[in-house]
Amino acid sequence: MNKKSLMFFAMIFLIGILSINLAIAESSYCCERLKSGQWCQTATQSECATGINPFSNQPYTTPIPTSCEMTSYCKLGTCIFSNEGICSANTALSVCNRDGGEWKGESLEDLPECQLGCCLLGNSAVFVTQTQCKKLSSDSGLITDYRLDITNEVECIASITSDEIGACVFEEEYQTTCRMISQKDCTEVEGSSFHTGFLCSASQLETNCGPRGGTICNEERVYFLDTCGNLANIYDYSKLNDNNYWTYIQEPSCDNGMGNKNSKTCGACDYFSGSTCTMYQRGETINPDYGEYFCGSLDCNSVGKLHGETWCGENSVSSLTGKNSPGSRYYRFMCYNGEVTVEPCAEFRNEICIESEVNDFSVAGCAINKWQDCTTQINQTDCENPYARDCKWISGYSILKDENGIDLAFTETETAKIPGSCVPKYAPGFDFYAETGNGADVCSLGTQVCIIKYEIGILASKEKLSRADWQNKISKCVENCYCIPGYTNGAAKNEYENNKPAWHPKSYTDWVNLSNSVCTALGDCGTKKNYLGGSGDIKEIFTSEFTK
Amino acid sequence: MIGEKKGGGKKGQVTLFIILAIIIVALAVLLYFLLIKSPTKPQTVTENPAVYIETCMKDKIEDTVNILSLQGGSVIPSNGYYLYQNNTIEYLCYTNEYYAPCGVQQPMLTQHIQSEILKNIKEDTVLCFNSMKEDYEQEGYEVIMKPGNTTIDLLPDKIITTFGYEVTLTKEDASKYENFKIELVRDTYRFAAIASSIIQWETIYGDAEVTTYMNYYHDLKVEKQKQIDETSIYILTNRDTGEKFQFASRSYAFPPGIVV
Repeated sequence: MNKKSLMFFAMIFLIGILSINLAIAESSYCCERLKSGQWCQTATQSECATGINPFSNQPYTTPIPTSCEMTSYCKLGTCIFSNEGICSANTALSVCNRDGGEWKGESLEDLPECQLGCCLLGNSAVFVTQTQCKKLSSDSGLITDYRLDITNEVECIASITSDEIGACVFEEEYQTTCRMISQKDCTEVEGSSFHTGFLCSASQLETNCGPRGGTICNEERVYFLDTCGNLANIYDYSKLNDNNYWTYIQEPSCDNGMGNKNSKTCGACDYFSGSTCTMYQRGETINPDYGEYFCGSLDCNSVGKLHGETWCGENSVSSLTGKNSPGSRYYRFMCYNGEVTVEPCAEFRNEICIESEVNDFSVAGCAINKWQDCTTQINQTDCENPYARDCKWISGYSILKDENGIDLAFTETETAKIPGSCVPKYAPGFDFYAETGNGADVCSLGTQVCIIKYEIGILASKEKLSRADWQNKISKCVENCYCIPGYTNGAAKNEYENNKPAWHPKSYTDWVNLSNSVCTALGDCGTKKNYLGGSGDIKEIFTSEFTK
Repeated sequence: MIGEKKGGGKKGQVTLFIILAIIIVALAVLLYFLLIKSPTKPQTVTENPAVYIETCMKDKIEDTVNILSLQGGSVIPSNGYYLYQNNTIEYLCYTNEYYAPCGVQQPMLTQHIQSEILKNIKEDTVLCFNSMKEDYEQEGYEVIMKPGNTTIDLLPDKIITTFGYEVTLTKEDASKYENFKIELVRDTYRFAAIASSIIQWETIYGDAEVTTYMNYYHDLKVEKQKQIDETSIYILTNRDTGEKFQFASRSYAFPPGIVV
């Protein structure tokens, strides 16, 4: 081997080594931390943080070319902070160690120290672990009241009950007065007597507190006040002068069971029915018959929606009709506390907004647009299975073909196998702005080649036919005539019309529409206006003729 | 004559430059004092040094809570952030991959917030106590000050800052003061608890239903703003006080378009 050959092989060897190194560098590593700060992420080696971990004062773990779940330092588990009684699920070992927690491989549900219960803290309640409850109670100067029998947050919040209150009568500054407090609190007042079920305004208690001291908001409802400022019963104008209503604790008779929205006479508001205690403002149309408060409506009257309703926006509605214009996305609107808020669903129409209505109350939500495997379905039943995917079947053309160009997807009837294409029901969007986007590749799935056959006789020339007008060409056509511009039903050769499959397009326009519907359903392909109404370039559909 | 005139012009120019330089320096000093906020030093000393400390430290604690509330619980986000409306919002849960659940980045959010507040007020605490000592000494008090640990407690509805200093003031009688407490009425504890709950949903489903939280807490507004890279910005607002807490999460992201 001469010197030149040796040099050549050495160079090949070096290039090989370099290529292997580059390939490794570009593959995915589990970084304990990224340079941008996030912990336990899969990235290229160059993106991994290096040097000293400021939390442990040890060097960062050397990245391993595997997924983080497979590593010892970034596998996910439950992180337990025993002192605080906090458990965090799906936490990486490194993150747990960073914060001084104890990491366990078991899931949160399997760890007894992580079970949640209801912690009652005076007039509030939180759904936490027992250790957290003990700490919170001690910090708030309360005795721990932890309820393991309450198994969810809703029940926990609903369980907030203050001790039953009644009239506590006592002497103050040479007067017999009264306060609406619990029996327990009343016993702490010197020389007091407690009257269960009575209001301070009860005349038989002979205190300085009388009826009709105004109204006030309490727990989202309107209450009467006595003249000492104690809570009485719920505001009910019809009972304003009813001695019994000012004597005993009782429910109002005015409640219509629907929140008494904007009622001038009833203070039995209900948040879930769409009302809450509201202060009357000068100039407002609703002026309560007594006092300053009423059950204000929480509905969004400007858009005609009730409190708690959620619905899909205008943009989404136009998308639901099948437009899914480039740049458009779905939105969910919400009406809460009289305010409309907008929640965009995922970009690129990766989420769609779905709306349903029960008793004129609309409920909407963003749901994942399951279009990913549409184009690989080969029959209509699988394609349109709503539980598996969000796809639609377009009959007449198959985008799935074998290496010889033979159709692979069909709808089978008793008499025929009609080619078809399974395409996304809600066309997804493209990252058209990114250089790495694959929009062109996706759209090319919808590219159709239509081969037309002509019968021109032995003596006629192909060149002469290529120069002929459309009508002349149509008269010579025997197969796939609908691909000729100007072709309409009945204008073609009788033989073709009589023998063509029933599912073939009836006109050139039908064929173009079919092609466009397949193409536009794949994504931001075909001829579409963008979501602002701007048109893109119109692509030429008929591109070549008589090339063979 | 021409030469003399030229010399006079140069002198004038130099004077002008000196005046300009003085103005610039003065403006710079003024801006420094206006922009770099120093602790609010009380105008007068009172009988109770706790009032002095509260006046001196309260704004700083409030500012710190305001800043970290808009940035996912950190004064300076270090676990990666999303830039949203000029706020660097820290990721509390994150994955940079598609079709993958996020990993929790801040498992002890409440404790993290406590330590962030503590870290950010540390310098001002020393300044305030030293300044209190000086001011009381100027008023004729003999001051014995024993520094101690500062603790932050995030509790439902409030944040309590406890300065473990011991201060003895002697003028005619000696009075001893310890455990200076500042109580802020804030919703940060509830915000942190709700954020942690949302994060747990994000790790499992890649999403959280905001109306659930609004149905639980009637005074709370919860918004979710999905960004172009599928980062979700959650904004929690107390409807009564306008207090906000916002954080970022990226979980189960989907790439745009069909993968060919």
